[in-house]
Amino acid sequence: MLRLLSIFRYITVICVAIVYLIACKDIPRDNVLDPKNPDSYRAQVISLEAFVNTENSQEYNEYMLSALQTIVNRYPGKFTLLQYHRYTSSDTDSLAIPENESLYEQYVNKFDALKGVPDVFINGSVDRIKGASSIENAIERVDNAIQPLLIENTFFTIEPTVTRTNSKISISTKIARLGSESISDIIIRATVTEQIDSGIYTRVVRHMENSNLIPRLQRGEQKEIKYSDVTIESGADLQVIFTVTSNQSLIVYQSVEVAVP
Amino acid sequence: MNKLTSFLIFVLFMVFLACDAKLFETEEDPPAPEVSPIRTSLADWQILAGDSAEFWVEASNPGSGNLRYDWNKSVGEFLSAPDKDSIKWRASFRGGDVTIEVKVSNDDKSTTRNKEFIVVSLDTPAVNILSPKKEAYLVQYETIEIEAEAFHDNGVSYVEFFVNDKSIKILDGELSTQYKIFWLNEAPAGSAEIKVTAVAREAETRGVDSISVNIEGVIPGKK
Repeated sequence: MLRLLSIFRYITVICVAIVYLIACKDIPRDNVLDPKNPDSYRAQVISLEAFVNTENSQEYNEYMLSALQTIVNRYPGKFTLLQYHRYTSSDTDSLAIPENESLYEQYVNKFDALKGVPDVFINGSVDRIKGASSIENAIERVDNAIQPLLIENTFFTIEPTVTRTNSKISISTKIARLGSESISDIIIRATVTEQIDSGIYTRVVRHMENSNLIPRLQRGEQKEIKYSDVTIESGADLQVIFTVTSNQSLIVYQSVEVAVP
Repeated sequence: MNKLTSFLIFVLFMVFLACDAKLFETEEDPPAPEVSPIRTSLADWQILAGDSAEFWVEASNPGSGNLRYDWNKSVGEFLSAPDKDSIKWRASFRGGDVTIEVKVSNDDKSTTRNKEFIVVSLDTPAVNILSPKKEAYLVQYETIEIEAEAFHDNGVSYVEFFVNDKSIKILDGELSTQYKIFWLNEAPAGSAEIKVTAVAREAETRGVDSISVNIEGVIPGKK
């Protein structure tokens, strides 16, 4: 009798396992946030990168920064903003860091254009708006440029982790490729910004870290990136902005902002 | 005997030829009418659009029959019968080139005279700025393409480009109606006016188009 019971138990376990396996196979991967779902995507957060100099006699750069802040406030959650301060041919800028100029070189070379600020890049090399004559004109130009991008989706998800111990900031992130296609040659940049005031100096770039080149990210694949620790003495109000960028075209596919605790 | 025979044959042959007189006739070409160049009441072969003028020729007929006149024109309209030695003609209301022609015929031949001259339009040239567009944003220190089209019935003598009333370029008139320049934008930031004028050939009337644009200020460099 015991033997019969044991056999019955054995058969039951096998049946349950078979049913479980079949059931698992039938679960559709229809969650759009699931990286393994070939139809997965995220709403795109548009990157606004402004190269500026705010220590000259004109107010063109202030006009543009004010316009960008208006745009960011107008569409909550749809933008990340980065202010790269740089020297001009005649003016220094106390907020400039060398990495800013290096990045600007890349953009200017991509557009085969002259340098000059203010110079705004939208989703990297997707669009460019240079110069300003008034806040109103700058708002109109930027708003016209972003309209087609507001409804775009992206096939990346970024899950950052940022911790702070006194002046040391530890930054890491997970990135996953969504959708049905793999991608090559991307870089994940982590940029530390500071909100100096609530006016126009809201996202001043303080430090920049690039990931190693990711030669290929398969669809559904996840990757974890750990950056070097960053030490910033000042900066009560810091943020880290992550961007997924094509190393070839300089297009920014997705961006995310996280506050430094 | 032989000499006599030969002589008689020769005489007979000459008589035979003499009987066919046509062999010795030279057919004369009938003369065509002799016609002077077309003359006109116009001072210098120019007429304003819509104005009228008189044209005539002096002809004589060394041939046979009466002289007949047949006047023709490329544009405009005749105000008198076109079969006399003179004609009244009114120019069209558009400028341009016109040809007046007269054919004078006798019974056998005809002689043709024609004259080309200009109808001058006092209209101003049509000017239209194609680019940049009205209220466009133009970045300082960048090279801007300014393109306009200009047209006049008599042709355009020259086209001049202005920014804020300062002349920046003059182009000679061409057969083409499209005029394009590249301008280094060094205008001050703010609103600016781009103006293009075209001057007509002959009447020298001036057509104008202008647009307002925004000059977007830039702090240049560094390299």
